[in-house]
Amino acid sequence: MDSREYLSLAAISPAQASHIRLDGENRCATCDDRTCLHVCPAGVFAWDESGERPLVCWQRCLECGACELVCPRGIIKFSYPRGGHGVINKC
Amino acid sequence: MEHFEALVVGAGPAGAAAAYHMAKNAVNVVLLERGDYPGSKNMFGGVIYSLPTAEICPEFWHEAPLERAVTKDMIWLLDIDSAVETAFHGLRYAGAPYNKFTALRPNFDRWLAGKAENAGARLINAALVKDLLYEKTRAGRKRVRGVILDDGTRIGADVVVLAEGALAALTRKAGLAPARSARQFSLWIREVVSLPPGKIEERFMLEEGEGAVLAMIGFPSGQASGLAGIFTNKDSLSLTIGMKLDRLSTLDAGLPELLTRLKSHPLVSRLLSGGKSVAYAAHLIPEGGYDTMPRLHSDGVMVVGDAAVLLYGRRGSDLAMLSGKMAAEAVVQARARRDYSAVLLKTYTHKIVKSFFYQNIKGVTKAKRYDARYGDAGYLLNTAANALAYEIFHAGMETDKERIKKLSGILAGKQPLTKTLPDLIAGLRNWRVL
Repeated sequence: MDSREYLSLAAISPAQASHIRLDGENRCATCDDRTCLHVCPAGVFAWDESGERPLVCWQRCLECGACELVCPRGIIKFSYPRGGHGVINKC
Repeated sequence: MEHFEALVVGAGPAGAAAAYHMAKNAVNVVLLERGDYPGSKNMFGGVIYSLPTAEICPEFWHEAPLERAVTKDMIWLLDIDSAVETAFHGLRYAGAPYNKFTALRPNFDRWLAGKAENAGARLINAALVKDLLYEKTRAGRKRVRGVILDDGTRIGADVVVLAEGALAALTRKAGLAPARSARQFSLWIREVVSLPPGKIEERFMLEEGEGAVLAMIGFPSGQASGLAGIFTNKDSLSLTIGMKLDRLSTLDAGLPELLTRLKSHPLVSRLLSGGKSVAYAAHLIPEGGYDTMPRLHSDGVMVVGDAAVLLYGRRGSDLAMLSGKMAAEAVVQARARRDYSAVLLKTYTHKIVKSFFYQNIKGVTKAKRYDARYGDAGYLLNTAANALAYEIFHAGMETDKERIKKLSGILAGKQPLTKTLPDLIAGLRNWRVL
């Protein structure tokens, strides 16, 4: 199973706006580590087809908050989604 | 602006226990939960411990939504095609007062918050606290006077209890904790696999109602030491895997890949066989220990549970409830004096410092530092144990003398024996196997 299949098991009711902010995303292009790509257990972070811009699929987020902590350049800013939105664990 | 005597941020075990104890003592308290219901954001690879939980609610097992009473604890040192197993099967734990229970947090947390509500607390769901409200005291210091929600609603309170969980954003905003780093956290994911109760009981050698906890050390994470676990619920297994964030950052694979690798292990896959995946979640655990604990109180505010880094070994949800109750007791005392300043609330910090868990959190500090320094210790122990076991149980054709020579060769080949012993001691302390 990959993260996409795992994620299909989670119930998420995403908010309209992203709760994950990139502060200075132009600096992502020169980041060699790109730790966010494999640490995020929901595959929230990706690159657009041209490989120039980072994409944040906040609708997939499981709200662990690891992304901000592992971002080597302090670009990712995580906060919880609006009240009553996001992950709904049923068991 | 609506005003309460006390306001609790977060309806997990810490917050709900705090609100419950305050409500029972006639404190006008509001409990705020950012999810649709308490527990909707929560998961654990863990169990509900009987003795501490009974401090919050005596004989809770008659009413709480629990899965199975744990009678069997197993540890596997897992290698590619083998496992060294240690297990304890204690049937005394199958009856009152029990020892610990497997549970599903959305059910348990909702039940405990419901207790608080029934005792008179007001529960507000879908309420995300964005910031704290302050006022200046006569002494010129800042004092917490309430909270502001993400929709702009302000709620006033004489005292605020922060039970906001691992990320502790408000605790830091209040200046009670410094900035955090990846080293202070581990990331866990959990998959729930549904299985008929009969199959679970057969595979783990249990009777109806009995449960097992299987902790696995080593295999799935390769070089770095990681932990995994299987918890038996009534008709499902919770499968968890976690690792320190700084170590995870240096790997090529993520936790989902490691979980998939674990599930395909020949000894693990036979436990899960025929099951259906039904849920997936992720959560951080603040593992920084004593060195990273925040200040626990200030004027008009206290910090409890994960936000206060009250964890050691496998324990956390129980310490969360106990700390919530201690904070509530401080509120009840302060209320009698109508003074919620730091001078009165410090009775909470005093209670924590005198608690058994504070001593234990402090006690594992050395082992934590050791673990941070020698990240490969778990891996080395694990592979050595399995290689030794293969040799010990092997029916060979050599003299005993030759065999002993071979065994010590395996052990010495891994690393100097003088490091193996401290590795073992630190590992056992850290994993709380001892």
